[in-house]
Amino acid sequence: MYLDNAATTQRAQSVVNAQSHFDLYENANIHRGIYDLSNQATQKFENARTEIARFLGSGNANTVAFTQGTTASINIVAQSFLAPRLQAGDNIVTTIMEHHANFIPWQMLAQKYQVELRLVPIDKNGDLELVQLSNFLDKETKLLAISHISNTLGTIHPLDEIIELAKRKDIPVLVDAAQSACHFEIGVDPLNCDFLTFSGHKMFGPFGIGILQVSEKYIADMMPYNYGGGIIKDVKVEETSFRNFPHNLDAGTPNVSSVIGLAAALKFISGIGKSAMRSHLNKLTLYALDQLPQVPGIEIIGNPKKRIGIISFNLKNIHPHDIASFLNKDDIALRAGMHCTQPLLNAMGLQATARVSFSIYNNEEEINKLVVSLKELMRFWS
Amino acid sequence: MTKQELQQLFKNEILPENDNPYHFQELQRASFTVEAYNSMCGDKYTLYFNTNEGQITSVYFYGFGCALSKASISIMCKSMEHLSPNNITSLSDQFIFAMDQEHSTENADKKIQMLQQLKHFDGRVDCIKLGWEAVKNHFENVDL
Repeated sequence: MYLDNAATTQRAQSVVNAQSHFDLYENANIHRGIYDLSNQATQKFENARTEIARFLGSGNANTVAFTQGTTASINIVAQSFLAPRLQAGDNIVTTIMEHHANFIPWQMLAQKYQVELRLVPIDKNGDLELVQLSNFLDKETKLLAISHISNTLGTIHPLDEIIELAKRKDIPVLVDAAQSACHFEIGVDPLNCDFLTFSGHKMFGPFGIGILQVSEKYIADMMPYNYGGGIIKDVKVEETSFRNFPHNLDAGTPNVSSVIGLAAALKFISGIGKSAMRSHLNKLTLYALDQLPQVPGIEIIGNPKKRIGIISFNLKNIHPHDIASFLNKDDIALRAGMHCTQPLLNAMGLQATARVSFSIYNNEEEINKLVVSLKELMRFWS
Repeated sequence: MTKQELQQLFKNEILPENDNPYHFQELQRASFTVEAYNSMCGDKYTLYFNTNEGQITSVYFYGFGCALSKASISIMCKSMEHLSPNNITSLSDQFIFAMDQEHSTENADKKIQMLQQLKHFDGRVDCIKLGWEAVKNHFENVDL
């Protein structure tokens, strides 16, 4: 019984099949060979880019770069886009609720370039303080970086409203869509943001592949961040000139097999439909929020206005690690710890939580089993 | 480890130590302190060492963590009292070594032996080693 989908989802059969078919019968290095196998691999690779752009509501495949995952995508924006334009007196705005991947890169830049890092606080329910967010955005703000859905509380941030606040002041916006790409309509165009990041492995796809989509407005500002073959126009002893985004990020041989797998994952998602997925997750979330309070001593963490798929909780006098160990013996996989959101937990006065997170293959019967298991643990512990 | 074995382990060994930890108390003064922190899970303890003429006279600890880390540090604190810093280094070295080795290692202290037998506890070895590693790292970085 797998309830750790915010960490990674299970792989779709069609993804495994697409990858293994490529690995077994179509494998060749791309963009380099003057032979059929290489040309076909290149075609598949670039077709995947087009399909992913379409998935993101864009007809421009050149807005889509392949990365190792959300963390890599965010770090690329930090180093490739933001660092060169920072000056003393500037500020970067993000929130206290972010995953470390969307916090530490900005903290590092702030320290290195002597700029201010402004952290939007949350209220007692686990919703962002939007008035404070609005106040933070000013003419010195060089980026607003925000997640779509909190990986710890499941809070769905009101991105429309938030992005509108930034756009009024012409501030570029990065959206960490790691927890939403699977079941929300996303993309730099649909969201009206400038940078969109997500990972394949949280949406039934392979490990080690992610996306950085950049709005056409900022494509020309994306500079190479590491150097090597595949990204150059011309190399001379004196100097090197580079290809344009997204091809200026692909130094070295890309993870072609995983790109094929990611395209298959998006096809799998489209086949089910994001709306149907959201509906299922909403139903499960509401059911879990209704059933979990039956467990004596349980505290559900946060009560945001909108949440989906992710619920953190604690049991009185039982550390989340001990909860996870005991539930593991009932074949229930859940996560325990800080969930890479230490600033959030500190702000809420928490040291750790247990977290369940759902996907399309979970059901209400599993939530019933979870409740039974937690009740048994409470009885044993007391 | 089966569920029944896990329940027995916690009922007989871990929870008694967790519920009545040895010297679980915040001290305002100590000869020196050591921080034991696991940033992956948030377990965080301060260890308080009192010394007299080079000997460790008492060890206290306080903080937040799981039953395993708390029980393990409780056992550790008791075992380290009245030892010299050299002997503490040796004891923590042996414990970490025993936890990292495939073959079993005997220890005369039955409670330490119990902890060492948990070296294959799925995903929880870091909890058991937390305090011991903090002490080991501390004494490796001071002049004895």
